Amino acid sequence: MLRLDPGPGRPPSDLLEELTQACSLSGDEGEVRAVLRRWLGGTVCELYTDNIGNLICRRGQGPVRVIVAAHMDEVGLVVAGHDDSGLLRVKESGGLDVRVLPGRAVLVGRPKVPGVIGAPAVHLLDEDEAERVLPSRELYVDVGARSKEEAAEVAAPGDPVYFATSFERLSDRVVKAKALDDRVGCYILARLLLDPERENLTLLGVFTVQEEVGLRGARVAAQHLAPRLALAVDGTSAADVPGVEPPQTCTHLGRGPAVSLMDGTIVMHERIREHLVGLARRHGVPWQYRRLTTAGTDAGGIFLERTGIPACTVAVPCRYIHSPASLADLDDIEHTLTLLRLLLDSLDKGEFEP
Amino acid sequence: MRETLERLCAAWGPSGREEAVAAEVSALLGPVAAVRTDPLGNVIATLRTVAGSGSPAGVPQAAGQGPGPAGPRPRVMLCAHLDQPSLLVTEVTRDGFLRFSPVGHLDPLYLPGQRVVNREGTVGVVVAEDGLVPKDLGPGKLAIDLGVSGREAAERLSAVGDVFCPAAGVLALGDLLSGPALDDRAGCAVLVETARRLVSAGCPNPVDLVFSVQGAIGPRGARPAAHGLGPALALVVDLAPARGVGKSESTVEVGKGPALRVKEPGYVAPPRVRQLLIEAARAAGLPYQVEVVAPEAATSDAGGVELAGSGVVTGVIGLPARLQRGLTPAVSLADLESTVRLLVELLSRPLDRTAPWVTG
Repeated sequence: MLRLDPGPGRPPSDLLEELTQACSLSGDEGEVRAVLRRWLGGTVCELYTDNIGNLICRRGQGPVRVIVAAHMDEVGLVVAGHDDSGLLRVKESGGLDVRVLPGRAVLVGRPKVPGVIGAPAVHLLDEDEAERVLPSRELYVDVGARSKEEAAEVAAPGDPVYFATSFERLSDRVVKAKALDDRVGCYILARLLLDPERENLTLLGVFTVQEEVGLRGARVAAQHLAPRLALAVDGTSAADVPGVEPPQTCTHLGRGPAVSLMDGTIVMHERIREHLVGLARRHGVPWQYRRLTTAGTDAGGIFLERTGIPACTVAVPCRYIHSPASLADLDDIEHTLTLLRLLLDSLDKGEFEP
Repeated sequence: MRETLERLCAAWGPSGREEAVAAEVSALLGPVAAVRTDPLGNVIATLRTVAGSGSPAGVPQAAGQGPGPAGPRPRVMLCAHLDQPSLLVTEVTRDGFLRFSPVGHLDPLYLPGQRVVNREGTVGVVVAEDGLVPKDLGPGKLAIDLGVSGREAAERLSAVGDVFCPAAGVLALGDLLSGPALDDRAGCAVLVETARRLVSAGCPNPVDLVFSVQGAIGPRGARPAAHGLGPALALVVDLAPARGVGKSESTVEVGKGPALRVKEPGYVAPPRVRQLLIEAARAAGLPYQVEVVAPEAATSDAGGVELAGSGVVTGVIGLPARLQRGLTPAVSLADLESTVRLLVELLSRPLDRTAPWVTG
């Protein structure tokens, strides 16, 4: 994996690691934006934050305007109140896999106070209760406070709760981290923006806000940037584990970028989708279709803006998304980058128009 | 303010037919603002403030990209919706009852027994089908009884397409005021009162008030209004469901000050806006509370305003309301007063054009 130079005086670090260690719930994406600004500032010609927080990076001055979008926000919890005993009540932010929450280590608030997600003790439950998935309203976060007053000093209602999952390489190919949905997309987009300019393109890299709560940042960006076409780069579910058969697997880890057919918010623009598949076949890039038709991506927010914007989603397979820890394959990430570069090249050369 | 509130609550105004409420609001604001009505029926009032005397911005503009701190101050939009939930007549039965479809959030649990009235003043009462058991309750099992028999008699008073609203008025209920139109006439009254005080105190910022149409069925009127105004900051004032009897998901209580909303379906508040409001509340020694997640039924105009134009930094100030599920929400005049003071405190200081509305 390519290491990017973070600039003089800063220790070498991997961008993907830094992106996944940054914490950004929907509507409060400042940390991820700061990481991207630090890595891209001074290298890409134009960089600005729009009114609702999207970070927009323009590369090139060509006539064909292309949005590539990746979202900065991640799923997590929000503090809802304090119990008399000093525990924090929480609500969900974004669609969480609530089955896997109890017992997880978390970080609370901007100061990132460590805590643990707690649930009623297992010895108190009868057999039926023990098998039940606990809804988030029955869970709490324990920060070691011994009274309501102590808890109120740690966090106020509305404060974010992030998963405390560290970035690790599990093997030479597979990485583990929180928020790979969609920091893999942010990573790929940052790399695309550092490519040499393409003469005929204006590449509009949009790091969006509020994807997990309704594809909201992307809609605003598409409205004011007015692109000819748009691509969303996202992390998608890979359920290639025992007991699951295609198409329920959705995607397989290590089999390359997943070209989306449709999701709950958009039927992908057919000509872009076919062109992507054609490019992958001609250039020998591994690829797969995303086999599920549910959920949503920024492409769905973008395509209905203005007078309609052709859009398609390319996704990196990730196991265990919307949970505290997810896995991605570095080869999948590189192949997704390759496929997007091929698409931009073909647009630059005028070989494809949507 | 109570007089303003009662006057606004007396007006009949279902979604899409807000003219009577719009006329009241326009009359109330005439002395302090340049008032106009846009093509959708939104009332847009530009306050006669020190900075707002010019014509409002006609095109959406990006915040923070205009002139520097010496340039014009950022425009601020305050928003409340004019309309109230209502019943749309979909069939006149052979027996002379009116079948209806709810427009806006009306919980069928609270409908039977409710007195309703149409624009012409025809009164009806919502009734449930004979022998209906509570578990089968739904809008399809209810009808409006006009007290007449037979289709012909009923059609002299109403017709398919006619609209009924819960009967107007405000009831003094202990420390609270209760009435079907308080959602969101309470917000409208807060805006009117804020406008009066800002203008008499002298406000250094340009302020537009938007009284939106169709806010009870989604952010329909507010989004295009915000698109046209292009504000740097928008604040939506709407009701926040407060704790009632029994177990409650709500973190809000009546009488404890304006509720600063964190999120609702389709909208998340930028933390910076909440911080701005908290700082203003503390500076003025006003009570406030934080509303973490508003339920579907309390979805405000914010989700639409935020997406207008090049995007608008938007906050929601909730007026705590008990009985929100019923047709007669109840609010505390003290909470309304604190909300007015909060807005006056925030807007009577010059807002910094270069302020980091969005962090980073």
